[in-house]
Amino acid sequence: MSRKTKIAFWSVVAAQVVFLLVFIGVKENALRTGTEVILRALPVDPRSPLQGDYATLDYEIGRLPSYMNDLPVGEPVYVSLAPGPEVWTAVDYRATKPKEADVYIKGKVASSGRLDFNIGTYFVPEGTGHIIEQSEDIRVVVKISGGGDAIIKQVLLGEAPFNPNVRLP
Amino acid sequence: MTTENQPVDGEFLDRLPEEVLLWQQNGTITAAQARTILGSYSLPVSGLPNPTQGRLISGLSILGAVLVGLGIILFFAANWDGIDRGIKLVAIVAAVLSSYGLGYFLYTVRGYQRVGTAMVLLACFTFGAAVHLVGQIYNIDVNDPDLFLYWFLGVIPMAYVTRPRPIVLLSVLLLLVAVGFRLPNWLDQVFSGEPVVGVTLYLVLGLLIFAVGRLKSEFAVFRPFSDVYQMVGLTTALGALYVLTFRGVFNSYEDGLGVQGRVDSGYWAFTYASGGLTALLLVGAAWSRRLRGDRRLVNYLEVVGAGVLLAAAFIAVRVGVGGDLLYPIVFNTLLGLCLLGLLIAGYLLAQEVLVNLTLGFISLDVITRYFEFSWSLLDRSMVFVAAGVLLLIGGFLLERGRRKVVSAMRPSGGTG
Repeated sequence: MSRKTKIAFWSVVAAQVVFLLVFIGVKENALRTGTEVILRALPVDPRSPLQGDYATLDYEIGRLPSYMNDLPVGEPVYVSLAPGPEVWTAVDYRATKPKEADVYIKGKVASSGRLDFNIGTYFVPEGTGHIIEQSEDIRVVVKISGGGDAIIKQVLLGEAPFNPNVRLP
Repeated sequence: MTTENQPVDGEFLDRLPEEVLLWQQNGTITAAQARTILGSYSLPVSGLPNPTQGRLISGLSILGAVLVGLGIILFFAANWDGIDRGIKLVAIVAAVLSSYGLGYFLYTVRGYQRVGTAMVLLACFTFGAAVHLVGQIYNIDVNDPDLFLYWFLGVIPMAYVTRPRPIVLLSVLLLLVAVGFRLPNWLDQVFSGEPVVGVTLYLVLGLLIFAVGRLKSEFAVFRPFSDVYQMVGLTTALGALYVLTFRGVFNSYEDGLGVQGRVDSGYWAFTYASGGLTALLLVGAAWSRRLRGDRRLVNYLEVVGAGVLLAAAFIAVRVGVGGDLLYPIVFNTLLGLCLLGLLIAGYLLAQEVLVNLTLGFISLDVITRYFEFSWSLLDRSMVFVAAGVLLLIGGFLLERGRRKVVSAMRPSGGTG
């Protein structure tokens, strides 16, 4: 390897590592600084060959109101949220960023006609997805940034955090 | 050390035996010419590595790297959850750094170029695993199309810096997969004609990759791995063309429906840009060859051929008239013409690998058409017996034909 190639080689390695650190940093920042809300969800249980087992979560707030049924797939929708007795609920759906709402989550219209908030996947240890699937009360603790981007912090089954080693009665 | 009284730097001489071996493997030069080149720099002919032994070491090392890479991905995919998030993240970054470090050490410090290359390949896999595992840790959507794009963007500069073929191949394959993950988002609102739109994109992308390879072959610095681009591009384009020969793909064109629904603007932007770039690159490559005094007709025919395929892709997706009978006939004719043209081009350009690739597609097409037509006409047992006989005769004829073509291509003859 010439000196130039050596420098180029380590520059690419450094760029890859920096990319990974930025990728991690953005997500960590969202986890640490976002507003914490709890949302109710319904699961299914598939598997990814690269990332292992995961539960697909569909959120109660993901159902579009009838007046937005004509929105094309991929359109952004902002859902204003308010705390309820057990979980946070949707109080308003808009196609533009709500200015007055304290907490809102950004979604986009999926082909299913429901909203996709980019928090539809929760990875679990191999063979434990059915624990979430069989649970009747699933709530997801989500951190939401000021811009409405969400990241999953934790999944609750009933009152307790999801534990792959504990089977439901 | 000098040649024709010009000083030659040491690094060049260190690299020359490897380069000469590569040229010999490419078919650019013969074994005798390789010995002559090394001799003219007073390098020992024994400096020319044994090609068979070299290929075995490379093959074993690369297979090992691929297996370990896949193993790492699958291990972490299955076992990650019991470990603390911070430890996982440190382990991911450390794994990427250490695998690159080991590759660098083996390649540069110890001079084990083949094993070192395999380790850098493994590091590229580790980077991909890292991207997906960070995605897993933060529960990023499993079908997020950006993850493969990040992997591709990380590997492509490494392919240009280090240049071994396996890493170049990995980077091109990652591009194909990254586009494949993006496709469902682009076709979300298409409710008829989805297969045609999807496969057509791969036809255009295959042609673009081929065109990149053709232009690279015009520059000495890129030439050693331009054939990877050309072969992957051709295989992708021919594969897409082959899929478009099936009538079932055009089911939605029955009753003149064509493509229905809204194709995302990202698809059009990507496809038009790829098509336009393909035309530019192929014209540029043909122009460059003309400037070098290479005015063979085959150089211009590839531009015309790619132009016809791009036009057919455009008409199939954008115009969409003609029903489900006309398009398969058109694409079957185009595939036949392409295969014939490539076979002749392989012969004229003395590219054995091109001849072999074309013959592979011809065999696939013949077998497909045989089953397509005979399945409903003959008894099942007769279909298989006749297929077996056809394969044996076809294999014999193909092998004989291939040997003749390859022998004619080699100046000293050969058995293929």
